[in-house]
Amino acid sequence: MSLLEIEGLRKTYRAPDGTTSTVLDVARFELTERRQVALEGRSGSGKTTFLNCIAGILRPDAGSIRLDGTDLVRLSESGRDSLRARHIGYVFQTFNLLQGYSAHENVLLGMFFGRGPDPGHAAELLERLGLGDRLGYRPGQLSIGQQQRVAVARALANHPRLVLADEPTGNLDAIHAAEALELMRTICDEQGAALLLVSHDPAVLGRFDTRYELSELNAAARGTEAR
Amino acid sequence: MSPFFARSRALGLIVRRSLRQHLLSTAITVLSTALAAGLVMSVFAVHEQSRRAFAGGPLGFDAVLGARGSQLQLVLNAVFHLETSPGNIPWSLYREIATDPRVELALPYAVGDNFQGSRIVGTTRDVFDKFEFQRGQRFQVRPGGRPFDAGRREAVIGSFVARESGLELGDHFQPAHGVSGRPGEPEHPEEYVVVGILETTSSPSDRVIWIPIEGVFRMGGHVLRGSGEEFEARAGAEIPDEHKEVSAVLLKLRGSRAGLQLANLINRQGKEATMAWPIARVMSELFNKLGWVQQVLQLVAWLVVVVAAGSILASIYNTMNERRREFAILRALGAKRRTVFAAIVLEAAVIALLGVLVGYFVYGGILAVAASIIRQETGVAIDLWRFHPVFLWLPLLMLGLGALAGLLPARKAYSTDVASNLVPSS
Repeated sequence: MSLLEIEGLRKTYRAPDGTTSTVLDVARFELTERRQVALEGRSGSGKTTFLNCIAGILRPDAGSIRLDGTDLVRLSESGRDSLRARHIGYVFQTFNLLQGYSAHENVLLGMFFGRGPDPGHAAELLERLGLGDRLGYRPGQLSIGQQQRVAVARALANHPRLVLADEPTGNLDAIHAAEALELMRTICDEQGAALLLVSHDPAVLGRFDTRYELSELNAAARGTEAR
Repeated sequence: MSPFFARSRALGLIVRRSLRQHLLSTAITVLSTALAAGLVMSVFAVHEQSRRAFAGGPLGFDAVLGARGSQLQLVLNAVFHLETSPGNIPWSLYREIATDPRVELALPYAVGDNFQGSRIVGTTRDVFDKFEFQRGQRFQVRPGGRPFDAGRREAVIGSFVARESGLELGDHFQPAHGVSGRPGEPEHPEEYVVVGILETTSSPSDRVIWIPIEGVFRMGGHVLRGSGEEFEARAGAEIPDEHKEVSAVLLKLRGSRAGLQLANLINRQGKEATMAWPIARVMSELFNKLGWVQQVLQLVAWLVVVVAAGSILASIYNTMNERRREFAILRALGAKRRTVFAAIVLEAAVIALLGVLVGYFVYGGILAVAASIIRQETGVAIDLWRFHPVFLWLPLLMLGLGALAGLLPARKAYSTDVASNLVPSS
């Protein structure tokens, strides 16, 4: 059964000089429940814009993004916020952890806006990710790999239907990247969440059975390459 | 857990962490708010409590009879033992008013000397036997002491005098002429012995040395002009009543009608004396005259409040740029625009609330100093813990002002663009 259906997605930006450029032009994309797919995209291929549109952070200029039948594009901003909080987990390339908060609080904070705070579950997830003795540590006191795992825990804390990951291992060495990726995939699998991961790292992409080339999906990116 | 409760807890966490992250600016802003709150509370409460203590406090008298002149000077001199006496009135006036059926108690009051700045008051034994400084409360002499004997050079001192001068039971002292207490004033040759120390009354009487009125008449160098001619008492010889005079007569009246009748009789028809009645009205007039001072103080206090609100605004607004990413992350986690807006308004309100809480201590400090000075200078006790409505409405007002100050930075947080502040688009 289809979890995510995207049709005719278009996103344009207006440059400071007044000219507009289309960065995203996706005719169709689909992701079924519990599936884990990788999206290969080079810099400038519009991958972050694509994920932000799916997460409801950006509103596309045209098209539809249906998550479990609900079209995000037709929702108000507040509606998209609620849907994101409850159904979408997002692992950012730069982790985007809140610096003044402990690892536990970072995970808990996402839950406040989603299904409600569950300190036990937050701690359990962090323990699962090997951070059981680092609950009270702030991001600045954690290594890059540990920060990445906190970001993964935060993305999964609300039992999301869909997890978006934007170059989640971009800042890790090969060994840590492989470990983190496997943990994320395992927990997604256990929680029944679908995973859409974008990366340009062949080692990461090679671990996925289903891979897409974003430039093939995104007509705007093809146009850029042609020029 | 309901979404509302969950969001409230999230707001609490966001505010706590922000205050901790900006601890220094938070502390400074809280202190400036506390100063403003403490100042406003002090201006309102000190004024009200001073007014209550001076104009509405239990003094034990209803009226003061004294020389023709200012009623205020009469009250300040005879009741609060401040200022100089406006002049003397003949003993006959005291006798006349003391036997008036409308008068319950008349205490003669003669001043002109001091000991180390404490005023020496000559009066009768009635001050100990009949006078009630509060309903049902008479002066109590501490154990070991007793009231003075009207025929001896004996003194009973107030508790404040005992503490300040170090005089103890059995000690001897020589009164100095005048009431200013400045060094160099000539001392009288007479020596008085302390026979009693009064328990604290928290009234101006604590600062007084009571001696028999005969002692004032006979003090060396005192000239009596009760008859219009000068007369000096001689040792062993009776003083004829016509030569005696007093600075004032403190009166306890039988009801307010008696006060009205006597005030009419003495102030409108008489030419010899003035009756200050009721004492509370006379003191209220003083406070009314000084009303502009209170208005200036209030204006200054409100200005400080506005500055404090401005400092809340500035301290939060200055963090807005560095916090744009934080807001974007919160929004990306599902926080709504109104949630980050509310977080900033709440943060400003919490700073204001913390300021008010610390402000209570600032108020306590200011009032303790003010009360100490007033007690030192007048003997009047200000109640530190007496309730004033400002303690209730000021926190609400400061909360409102704090929240108002948070609106501008909150508007900025509200309009934070998520995508551009999260990660650069690729």
